[in-house]
Amino acid sequence: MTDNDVLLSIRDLSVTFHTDEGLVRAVNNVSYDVCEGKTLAVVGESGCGKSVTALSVLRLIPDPPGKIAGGQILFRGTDLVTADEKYMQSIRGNEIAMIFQEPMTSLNPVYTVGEQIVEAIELHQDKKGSAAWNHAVEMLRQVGIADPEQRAIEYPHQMSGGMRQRIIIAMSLSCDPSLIIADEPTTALDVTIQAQILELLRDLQKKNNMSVVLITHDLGVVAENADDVVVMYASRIVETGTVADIFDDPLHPYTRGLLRSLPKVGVEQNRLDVIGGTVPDPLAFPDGCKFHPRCPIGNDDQRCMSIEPELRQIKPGRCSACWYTPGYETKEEFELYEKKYGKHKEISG
Amino acid sequence: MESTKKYLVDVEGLKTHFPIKRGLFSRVVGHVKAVDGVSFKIEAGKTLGLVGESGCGKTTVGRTILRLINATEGKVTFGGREVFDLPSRELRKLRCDMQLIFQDPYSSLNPRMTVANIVGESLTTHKIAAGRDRRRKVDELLERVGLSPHHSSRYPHEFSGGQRQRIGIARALALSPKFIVCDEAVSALDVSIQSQIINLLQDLQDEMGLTYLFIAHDLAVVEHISDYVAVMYLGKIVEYTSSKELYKNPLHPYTRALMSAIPRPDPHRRQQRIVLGGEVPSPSNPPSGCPFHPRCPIAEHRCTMEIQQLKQQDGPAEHIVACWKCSEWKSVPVGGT
Repeated sequence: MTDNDVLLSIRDLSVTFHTDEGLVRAVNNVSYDVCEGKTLAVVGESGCGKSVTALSVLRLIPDPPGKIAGGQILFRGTDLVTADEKYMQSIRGNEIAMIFQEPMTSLNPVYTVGEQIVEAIELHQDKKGSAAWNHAVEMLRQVGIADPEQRAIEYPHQMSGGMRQRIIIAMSLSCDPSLIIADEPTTALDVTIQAQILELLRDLQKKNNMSVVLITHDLGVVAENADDVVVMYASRIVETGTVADIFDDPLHPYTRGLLRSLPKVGVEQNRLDVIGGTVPDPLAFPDGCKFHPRCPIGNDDQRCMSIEPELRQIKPGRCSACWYTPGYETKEEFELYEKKYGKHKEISG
Repeated sequence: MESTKKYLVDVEGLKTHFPIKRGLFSRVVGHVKAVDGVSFKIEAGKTLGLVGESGCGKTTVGRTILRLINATEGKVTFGGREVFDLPSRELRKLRCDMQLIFQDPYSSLNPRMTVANIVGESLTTHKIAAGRDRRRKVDELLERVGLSPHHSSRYPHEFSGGQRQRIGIARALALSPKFIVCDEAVSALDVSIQSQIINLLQDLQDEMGLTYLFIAHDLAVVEHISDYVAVMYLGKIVEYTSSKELYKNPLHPYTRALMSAIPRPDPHRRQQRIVLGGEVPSPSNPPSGCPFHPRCPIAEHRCTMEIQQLKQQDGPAEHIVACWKCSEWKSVPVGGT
């Protein structure tokens, strides 16, 4: 990976929300790169900050209460955090488009779908009137909607969930963006429709050489669609790597736990492995590693309970944030912490 | 085979049709055939998984069995008694034995009631326990589902999704039922929480000898938890067999498409899948013949004309399929598995 391949680069991003109960640090020092034409999957459970990171890229965080507290978001070298609103407007839709989870609520019920796509086209491109309309119909055809001329004059409630999601995709692709951020694009859909939509996204991505940030909690979807993977837990990245790395050789105990807790098709298991406990409350994150109360290794290790491990590169393209990842600690740290907190535990498996 | 097994639930020819009303005088202009002739039996202490896409009628089956929705036709026998003929007083008693766990742990708990009242409400309604007795019983139930008794004075909003689902399970267990309908009970939960709840449901089944009707759209979860699986399409069962057999040897083209659509968590096996075109047709106006034929990759002329009934397939396993052409699949493996 060379630097000029990188389309979007998020550097040390932190986002906070001021709430009545206190300051919520939704995203903490998150960094990742999205390369041209590739798919990056961001995996994590609800509340881990994966969507907030994505919304920050388009500066769609409601401010107040939200605030980008630090870091940079470099899109083709320009920092979107400090860019003015006019520049952002030229980026949104044109360069970076977003697909949301809920195909039911992200379309306006009182306009026909054609009008809604035309709105996006007229706002971002030089096309007006019938040229824009024809473009909208062409987009509907591209996403595999039968009889697009007729469908364009119909309303969202006349369509099924899968069709609405296709319309959202048509809308986000209408201005030919170079990056698509898809936030749980298929979570609300049936498996057969999910397969259709993901295949459509893959085809369009190849055809238009787009980059995709795929935000999901479904590890199956990740395995089948992603090139690179970022695993988030409680506002931070805990592990990054290529999709093969993550599934073949997960480094972080959270990633391992997630992979093990899935029921496997065609494999007989008496009980599922579980990660005990629940996701911590963002108002009261635990000290040390945020995963330690649920971690099978770190739950009684002084090191994990006291010092939060930062994300470090273990080998090229492979990062982890765990004291127990082989090669994570420097020699000095090892000696210092061994004196202070005792020996590392033996781990098996 | 029939005589050696003890069936708790026996559903026969169940039909639930909803009238479509139009105009000033609410004239009935048609019917949504949500459930259209469904039959199955569930052995006591076992789990039947019911899978299908949204709109196929799986939820309606669950609710009709519990008589929360009135059936149009058919018969449900529960522990030897016919559910649909019971007078309301008898039905109340029977309801103690049948409970429901809902999908959405957010909207299925009353936000203005404490956990103690949510879990204990049915104990009061059915005059089983009151006062200190009820409190003790609620504490026991909370412990059983992995919560602690001091949670009982709290309100639902103070809990996470997984904990709320545990509260919902405790509520279902309050009357010591024999049969629980789990309607997408784990679908809304995070991955790490989902496996906790599945294990809990299995433990409870082992300890209390519960019988489950497990309704879900996630085939991996259904395979894991079920003994038998019924696949529904457009109000009808298209395939029924043991969960092991179904995953080894799916015969109906719809089942095969569903199986191949499951995203597998293995990046090295990006498979050629059978991607079904189109969507589930409207149950108010189902296609002629086999309801699956417009999307079926192997449909022929006969499939558009008449529907094949559920038929036992050759082989040792109990495996029934409603397809004219399923025998042609037998040598072809499911895409990628």
